[in-house]
Amino acid sequence: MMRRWDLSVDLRVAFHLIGIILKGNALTFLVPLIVALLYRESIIPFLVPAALSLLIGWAVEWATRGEREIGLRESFLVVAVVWVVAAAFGAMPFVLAGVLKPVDAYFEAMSGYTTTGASIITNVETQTHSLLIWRAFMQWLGGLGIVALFVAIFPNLAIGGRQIMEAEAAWLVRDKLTPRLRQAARSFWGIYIGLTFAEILLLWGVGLSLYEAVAHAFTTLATGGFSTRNAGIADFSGLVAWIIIPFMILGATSFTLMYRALLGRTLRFFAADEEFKFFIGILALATLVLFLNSLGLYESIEEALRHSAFQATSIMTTTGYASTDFDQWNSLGKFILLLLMFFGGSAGSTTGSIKVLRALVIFKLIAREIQRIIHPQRVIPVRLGGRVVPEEAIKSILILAVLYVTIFAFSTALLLLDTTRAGLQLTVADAASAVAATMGSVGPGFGIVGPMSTYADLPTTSKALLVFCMWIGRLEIFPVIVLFARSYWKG
Amino acid sequence: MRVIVIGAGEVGWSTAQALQTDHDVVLIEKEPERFETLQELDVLALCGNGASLKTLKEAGAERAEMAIACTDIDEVNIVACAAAKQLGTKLTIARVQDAEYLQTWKRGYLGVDEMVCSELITAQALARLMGLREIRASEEFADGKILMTETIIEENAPIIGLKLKDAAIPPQCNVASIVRDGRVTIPRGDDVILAHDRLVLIGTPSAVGEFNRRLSLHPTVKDILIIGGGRIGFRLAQLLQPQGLHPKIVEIEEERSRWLAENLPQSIVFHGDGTDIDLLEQEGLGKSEIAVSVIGIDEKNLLCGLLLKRLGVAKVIARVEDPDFVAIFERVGIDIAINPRRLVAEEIISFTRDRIEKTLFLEENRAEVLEIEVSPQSPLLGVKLAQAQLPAGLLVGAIVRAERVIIPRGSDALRPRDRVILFSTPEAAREIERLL
Repeated sequence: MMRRWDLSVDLRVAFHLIGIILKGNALTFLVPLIVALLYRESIIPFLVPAALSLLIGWAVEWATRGEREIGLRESFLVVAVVWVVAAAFGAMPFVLAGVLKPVDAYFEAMSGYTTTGASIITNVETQTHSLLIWRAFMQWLGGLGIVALFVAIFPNLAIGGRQIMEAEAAWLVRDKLTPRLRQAARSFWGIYIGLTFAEILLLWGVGLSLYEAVAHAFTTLATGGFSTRNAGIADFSGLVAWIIIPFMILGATSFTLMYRALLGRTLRFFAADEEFKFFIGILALATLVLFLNSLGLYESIEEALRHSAFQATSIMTTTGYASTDFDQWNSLGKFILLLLMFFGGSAGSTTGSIKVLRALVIFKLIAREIQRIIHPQRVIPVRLGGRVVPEEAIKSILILAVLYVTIFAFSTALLLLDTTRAGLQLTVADAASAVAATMGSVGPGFGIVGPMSTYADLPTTSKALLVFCMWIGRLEIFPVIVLFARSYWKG
Repeated sequence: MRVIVIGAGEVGWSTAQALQTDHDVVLIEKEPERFETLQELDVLALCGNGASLKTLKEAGAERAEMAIACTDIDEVNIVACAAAKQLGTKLTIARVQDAEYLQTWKRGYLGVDEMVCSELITAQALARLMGLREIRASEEFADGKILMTETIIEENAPIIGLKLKDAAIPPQCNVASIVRDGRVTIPRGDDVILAHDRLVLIGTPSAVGEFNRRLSLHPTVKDILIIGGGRIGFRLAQLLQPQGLHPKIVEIEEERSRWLAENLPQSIVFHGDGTDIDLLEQEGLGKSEIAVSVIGIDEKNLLCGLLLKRLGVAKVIARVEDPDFVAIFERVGIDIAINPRRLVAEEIISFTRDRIEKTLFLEENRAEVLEIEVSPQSPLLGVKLAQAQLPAGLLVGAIVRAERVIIPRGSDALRPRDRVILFSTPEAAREIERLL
């Protein structure tokens, strides 16, 4: 028997899975629906996409029925397409509620699922509770990966699940905490839900309304960044910012690490983890520089420290909350934030961007190359936490980083081209920050896309470009880029 | 007693040769070509597979006291031991090369009573020589409670010109012999230490180590170079790492050098040839304090060793597989030649001895060190050593009495079940064996 999926992509298998996932996706609209009922708001914006998702999902599943195994190629397709399709359904409530035009709504939804937090909505505070909860909930769902969510829930997905999850989040499969993939996925969701509840309680405890506490807990742990206020976290007391900081850090911490620490009931694992220490080290250094740089800018030392720590954490963890208008900071401060956008958090967390693990390996690689120049014949393996990083892995890390920066550069050029065409005057820093913030799933950038403004003023073509950046950035480039290879489809 | 030796390679041959005078040796060899040469030995030679029951029965495994499996294939040795054990052989000994098997096996498991691992024995022997530059031989006795070293006195060493009795020798250490111009003498307190002397020390490891450091011009060794990252080179590095040393390893195969670098985090691995002068000079490897060449090819080890010696390495040790080369190596300038097969054969032979635990030959057999358990019938029991009629050319280096180490003086006397470590000439050795 000739195995079709070895030669080219088996679309039937791929779409069969997409159909199943769409059916599950319909359930997610229950959350804003309940909120709408509680606040006596219209349920139509959520009922329609839920029904459509269920119907289309069921139809696709039925049309492609049949027993077949999923291969590696189909996995990439499933992952890439699921995020695109999910965003389409996720955009519907904004259109149906009459808030945004379809393209803007799609931008908003993609920004949601990819946990970016870049927004088009100019006045958030006039929106309905249910719509803002939906916006936050999309980020919460996207935090650990949409596909991972459905693998955790649906038993019939577990067969091909490993392949798909490998395409979406290779770290989860690679770490092999438990022999069964679904079990691992469930443990991570358990931690995720637990942390979310903890943050809701704390925020509620310091005076936020339950609704705002929930909305912010959703977007903190997903390192998303959507807020219910136009001014974001700057609207709340300093205490709220101090509470949010550790939760952003937890969201940016490897879930495997947290799982181990939880099982072993000890924090020793954090102290022993090289990646975590490196992450905290960079964060502390950035905070220190920003703090020294912002002295005199704020009324008190505490305020300067709070804003420095909050902004460094928010940007590095790719959350994108603002506790102050950092667009007003001097060039040094903004440049530090721009650099942080390229780091992200730990591998296996909810953050986007290149991730500190890769940065750490690249730094070690640089150190090794220097040693190699001095000792040309010396054999020096790259070690991470005592374990040797295989040369193959180093290569793919390096390629990903180079690809990331290349796509960043091209997209920035395209953005400048497109905005100039539309008659907008973007500085290089503004354009670079917009691309870095969307690719890295951070959210706000500087200038026209700064923390106190939105992406609304950009031309439609630029928005489409940035949607692409969010998508490819969130999926760590490869699952998307293989789809553009001719040999992926043929032979 | 009947001893079955399986495999007539270097190890099997040496073992059979050592045992033939006192025991009925049956030697099993599979290769017909090698089988031909066995006629030189006074043994019963059988051609066949030593792991098969049929051959073992033919060899009389049912009534054999001992089966020694020393073919070049580890797995065959283990199976052969298991088969012999099943047939009723009392003691089985398997030679293995891969130290992994030592972990798989526990005493008596798999039908193997004793396992002798050549790579480990060699690596351990090499590691013992790494302590100081001046140490030329080093051996443990009585399960490591006693250490014997042979130490060369370099020019300008602080101890030169001192009489032995003034040299403040630690009480738990004994100067068993002075080797001067190839002559072995048992020293007296009035003897003066001269440059180029070799002192044979016997005592507790700490006391011997302490005195050696006093003899040495370079009390610590930091720079160790290993040429060849095969099994022995790897094990050696593994033994040295916990001592805080960072050995440098030169390995010619790229894949293997990467593996070494990954598995030896404290070592410094170079990918290259041990005879590559550019590499040796650029990385300062020619300035190492001690270099060990443990490649699988004797000639290459000699070449590397001589090259390193010329570049200025203080002490060079080379591995030799061909026993005929050992003396040649040391004659042309290699400080110490180590023959892994001989080490293994010695270890195996020690199992066949009743009371003599260990024998070590020094100075091309002009002297030997013996470990003997004193028999309850010995006429020397209870006699003070000073009064005992001990043969000339013999020194009682140490006594191990119920886990306690005694460095004997004239007033000490032997008791039954004492283990004594003797330093002696070959003639005196035969006599004392009888007396004890």
